[in-house]
Amino acid sequence: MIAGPIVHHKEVMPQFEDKSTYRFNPENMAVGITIFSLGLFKKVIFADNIAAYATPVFTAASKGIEPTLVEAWVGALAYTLQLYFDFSGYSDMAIGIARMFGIKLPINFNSPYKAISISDFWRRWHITLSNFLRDYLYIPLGGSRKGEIRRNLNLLITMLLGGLWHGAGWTFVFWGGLHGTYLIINHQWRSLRKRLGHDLKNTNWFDRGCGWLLTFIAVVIGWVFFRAENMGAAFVIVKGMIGFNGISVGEALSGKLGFLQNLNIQPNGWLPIIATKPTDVILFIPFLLIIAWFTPNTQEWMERHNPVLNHNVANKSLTDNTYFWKTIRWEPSNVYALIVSALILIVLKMILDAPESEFLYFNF
Amino acid sequence: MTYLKYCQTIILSLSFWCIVFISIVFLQIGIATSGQSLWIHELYTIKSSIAKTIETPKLVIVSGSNALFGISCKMIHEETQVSCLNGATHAGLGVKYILNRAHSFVKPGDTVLLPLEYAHYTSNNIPGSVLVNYVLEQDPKYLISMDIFHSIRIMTGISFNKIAEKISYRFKPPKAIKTPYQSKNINKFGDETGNLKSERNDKHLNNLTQLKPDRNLANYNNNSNGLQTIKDFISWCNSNNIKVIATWPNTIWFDVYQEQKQQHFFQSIKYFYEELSIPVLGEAEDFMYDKSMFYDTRYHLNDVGVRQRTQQLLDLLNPYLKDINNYK
Repeated sequence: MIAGPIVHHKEVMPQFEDKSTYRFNPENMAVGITIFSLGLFKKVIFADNIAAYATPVFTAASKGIEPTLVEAWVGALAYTLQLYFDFSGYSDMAIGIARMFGIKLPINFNSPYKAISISDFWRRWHITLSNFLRDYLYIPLGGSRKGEIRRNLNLLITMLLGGLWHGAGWTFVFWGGLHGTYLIINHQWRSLRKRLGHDLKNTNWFDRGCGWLLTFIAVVIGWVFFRAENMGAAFVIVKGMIGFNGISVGEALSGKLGFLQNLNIQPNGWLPIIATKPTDVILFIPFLLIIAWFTPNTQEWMERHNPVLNHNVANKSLTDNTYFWKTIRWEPSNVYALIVSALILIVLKMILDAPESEFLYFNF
Repeated sequence: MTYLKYCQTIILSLSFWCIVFISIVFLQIGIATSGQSLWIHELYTIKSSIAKTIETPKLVIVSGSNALFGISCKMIHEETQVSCLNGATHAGLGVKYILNRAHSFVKPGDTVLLPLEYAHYTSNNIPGSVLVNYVLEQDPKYLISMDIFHSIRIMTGISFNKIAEKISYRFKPPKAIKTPYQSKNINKFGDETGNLKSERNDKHLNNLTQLKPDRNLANYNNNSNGLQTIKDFISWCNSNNIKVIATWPNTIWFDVYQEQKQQHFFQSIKYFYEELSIPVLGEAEDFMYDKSMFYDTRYHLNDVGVRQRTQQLLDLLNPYLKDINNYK
């Protein structure tokens, strides 16, 4: 419940007062169990497994070990995906459980990594928190009603406090400040384009593509600060992402790249800190990125059954989806029942997996 | 399709998937893929046969491999003439399994020495990967002897990778399975004898160099399942006229173990045994040694360490060994 969706009393009290809520409704149960199992799958299978590539990099950075270019990006991207699947998975689980009992909760994640600007990102990420910050901080501070400078200041204050809301630490404050700065730049950019007479609603695929890429990279850098144990560790990783910590390549390339040692390219393996097969990372991270970027989210997939309260918000991004996705939208069917039950089994199995023993003796 | 039918289909198909999964696990029972499990199986086979041959009251050492690689029953026997079985095997099996198997090693009049690894005191008894692989490969009868929930945890504990590995082994069995240690190094008292200091290789030394203090030695939990299992074992021993003595496992000395949290951890273990009227031999620090005394891991001494540890133990154990001789 702490993770969200953050629920306003006016959104749920009428539902509690409605007597029909307390009657068993097969549609609520079917929709709820499907959303819940998708959320559980996202959390246990995607988030928990991708964490194995993020945690070692951030732990190493906190000890002063400098991740090189590839590893710094793997760590940052892995955490970006871990956080999304973890957080949105929890939200789906909450939405699913509530729906089983006839309560509809508000949408909380709407494919945030598809955002084409930072403002768009905050309309899609942890939506209920964004709304809370807007209604109880940004607007009471004056919002955008008192001129550009006050608006920018209000944005910065709101995001700094939003950062603090996540935890009492300088990394969270910095993350909030960074996003406040992103939003200010975004607003100034829009103002500039308006002054130049550009039609902001008339965008082409190139504009959207550039906006999406820039937004995603900005968000990834923000998450480095959000996750790092301290500011020093965060800067070490960001330095690595820029390439200042050098590049480590596969040992097979050591003979061929000897002449590049002066450029700080070392043959210590692609992932010396994570110590896993590069192929695992090459397969897993792009797989999850494809899901986050190109597949419909839970609310879109189930849109015909009004899975969340403010359903219209989710509906808007359906225009991004192709005919193919629209045809496979969820309806109660044997195929989906089989898929959902298989997902539940896989998750249960993973939860019940035997923990690795600390007493493992290998062949020395 | 109606919503109700959809929900029913989920429940039915989930039951179907569960049956499929359990069937696959059952079909893989007995297929050996793990060298570790094979080695443990060989250890138990050797130790069970030694236990059967000893007819006089004996001292039986029960624990994970800290005692297998750390106590010499041969030395104890030579110095005291007391029959001694080193029944220690592998700590990864968990305290529940280790103590359960120890039942078959002992009989009335015997004395059990428990130098259990620290992790056993804080164990939640959830079967770990070592136990899951061992039971499914070498000791499936254990599934029947346990309660249904423990058995289900073991059966569902097997990883998908392991299932895939077992299926591939069924079609293409390997020529030989490599074990981490050699059971031929077990002497007629059940002691490991291959842990010679002179035979440590670079990997052993590298592993020892990298070892850091065990962070778990500060998390004592009065209500752990591990403590309850030990309590139950002691109670079983008491009702079968088997004396129990506790002592500490041998492990690497780190200064941090002198800090308050760690000292509280050690003292809590001592109080636990004292409350059960079980004598505890020495102090935890008595059996902490420099890394040079170890063979390859934090719990495995080398032969030099074994001699020192056993001699210390003998000095503390002597009064109790007299009891065993008197019983004879």
